[in-house]
Amino acid sequence: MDITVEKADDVAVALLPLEELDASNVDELKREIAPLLQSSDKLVIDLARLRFVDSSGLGALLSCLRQLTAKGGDMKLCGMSKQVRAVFELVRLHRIFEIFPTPEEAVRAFRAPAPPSAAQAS
Amino acid sequence: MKNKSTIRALLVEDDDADALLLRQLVAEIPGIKIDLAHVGRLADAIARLAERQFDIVLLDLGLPDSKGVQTFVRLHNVDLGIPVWVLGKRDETLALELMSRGAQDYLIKSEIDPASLQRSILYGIERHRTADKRRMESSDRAKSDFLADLSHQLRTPLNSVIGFSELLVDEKVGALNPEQREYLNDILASGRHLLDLMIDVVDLTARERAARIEVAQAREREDEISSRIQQTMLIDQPPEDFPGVRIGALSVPSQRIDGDFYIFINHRNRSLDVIVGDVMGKGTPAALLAAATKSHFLKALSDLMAGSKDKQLPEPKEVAMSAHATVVRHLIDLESFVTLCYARLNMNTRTLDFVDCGHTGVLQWHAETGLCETHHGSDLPMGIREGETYDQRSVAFESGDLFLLYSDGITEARNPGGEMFGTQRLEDCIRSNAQLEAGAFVEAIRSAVFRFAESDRLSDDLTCVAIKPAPAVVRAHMEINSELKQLRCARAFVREFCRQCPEPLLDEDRMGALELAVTEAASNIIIHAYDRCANQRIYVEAEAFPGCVSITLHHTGKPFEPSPPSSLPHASRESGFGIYLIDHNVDGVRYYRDKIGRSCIALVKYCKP
Repeated sequence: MDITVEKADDVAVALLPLEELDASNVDELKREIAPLLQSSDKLVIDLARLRFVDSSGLGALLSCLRQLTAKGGDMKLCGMSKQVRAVFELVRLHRIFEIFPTPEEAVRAFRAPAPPSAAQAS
Repeated sequence: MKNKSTIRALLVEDDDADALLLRQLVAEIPGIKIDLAHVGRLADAIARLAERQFDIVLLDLGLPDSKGVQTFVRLHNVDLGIPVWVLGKRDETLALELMSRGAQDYLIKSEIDPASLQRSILYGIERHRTADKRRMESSDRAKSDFLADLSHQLRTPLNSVIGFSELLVDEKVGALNPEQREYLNDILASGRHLLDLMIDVVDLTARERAARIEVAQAREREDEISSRIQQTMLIDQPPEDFPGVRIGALSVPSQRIDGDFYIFINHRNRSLDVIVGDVMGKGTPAALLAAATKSHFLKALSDLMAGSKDKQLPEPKEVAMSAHATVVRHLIDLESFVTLCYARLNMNTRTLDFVDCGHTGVLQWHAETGLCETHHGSDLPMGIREGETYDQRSVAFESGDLFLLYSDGITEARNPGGEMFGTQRLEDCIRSNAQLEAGAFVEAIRSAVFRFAESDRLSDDLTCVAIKPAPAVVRAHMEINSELKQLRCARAFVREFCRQCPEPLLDEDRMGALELAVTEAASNIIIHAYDRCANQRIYVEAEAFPGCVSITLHHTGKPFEPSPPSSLPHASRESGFGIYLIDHNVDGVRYYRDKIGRSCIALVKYCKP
């Protein structure tokens, strides 16, 4: 798994190379993304390639968010396909994560003052 | 003979070819239904007339045991009240003679066609009924005329007796001694008493006549109402367009009116309720009770649905309990009860869930094995005990299977030897005919029963409903190892299967939802059923039905049936979404064991909302 990372100011934008995220590759994802979680406080994960996610995939993304917020950081998501968005909404994770159409908008959101955060509304 | 829609006819004809021809003609008569019984000898005809109820007779004069006009005379004398049509060759003299002796009509065999036969029969019946009425009225009139005449004749001398006695008692013609007065008072009292009696008799006759007319009129109205009740309230038409299921229904009343009923309720093409019931008793009272029971069921169902918070369909046992609570007191008071079977064909889970209240149970014919199985409930009929609760059973079906709900009029039909049709014969009949389409199937049952009974009329109502889930349109299967990395293979298989189905069955969103459910289910099997043991197998079967796709996963790991989460698991947990995702991405989930002992998870996704 090769996660390409770009920096936009102090925000790390990581493009997930996966088309499908399920129980078979969540462990690998967690391993590969761990250094990024260590090194960044502000992370955007671009899910543009992702076509399919299951419950373990959701769990993995949640775990990433937790690790970041535990040290005072934050994570946003962007580039969700319709199918992936549907799964997030079904389990109401769209209230936990901030989701944007493009990486630029997600990065911009880090600069603007945070709106009443959905992350606090869990 | 008051119901215009079915006429019971007796055909007396010894020539088989002629008889067949007449049967054909009669069957083709538009607008009226004629139940035709056939005998070949006059003696048989006379016997049948004496013991059975017929409305009309079709008579051939040339029989082995009687010829010519005598045939008609002897038959007609058995019951002058039944109109007789005589069939024969062209012969004006004979025709006139027969008409003068009271035949309804003379029909020339070589010249009859369905239309003219219909006219002749209908007009003849009407004429006969009018003649009957007039005859009855004239006999009434004759009787009361006679009595009026008699009473007038008796009155004159009576008036003399009373009048002269009064004169004497009043001492208008001379004084009386006490003894003479006593005797005269006796004579006077008797005379007056006689007069009172006579007045009563005449009065009674007039009242009797009025009452008889009223009764006849009431009976005619009742029969008309009964047959309208039957046609509009009790006999439902089976749904023609429920996707993936074909229904055949049969209802043959014994008398003009039924205590049997059936109801079909379509729940948005996802499940179909079929209620088959039998009210104890016959005739109009039974029919009225059947109609009332039906309406209580419908009301119970709609009340429960309206009151349900999450729009869940109430279970058959809940509806049965609720309906029963409203009718039980009435049934007990009327000293009647109702046996019924309430079955729900659930296309989401591909099961039949049913409640059997003292009814005949549900027969299931298995397409794969060709065997018949009877499923019984253990509940009492309705109307026996207040506060009764009901149990529900659930049986799975495979495509091509057939379910039969029926009334005991079928199994208890008797042949002339007194033998009953029975469940064994019924099962044999099912096995021989289960390949037929549902409508043809119930017709095959009907003719088998009537053939066995050797009669056109049975003593009990004949009712049955056949339910045939349509077979899969396309099938495919594959196997994967119990490794998580094979999950994508299962997904690809599902996608490929959906795409190559004849019509575009599932749209992208629905396909995605099905893929997700299959992934979650397979993950659960690998992780929980097989404890992540990688060398096991999961067998994946896909079937496309009209209107839906079904994916079933079979495994030999630890069986598990998760208790369904009633609400979304809290997002603080990182796992546990799996079951919730399955339930909310497909329309039906069923956990069961298959015939070879594998644990199975069946997922059903509909094409349209």
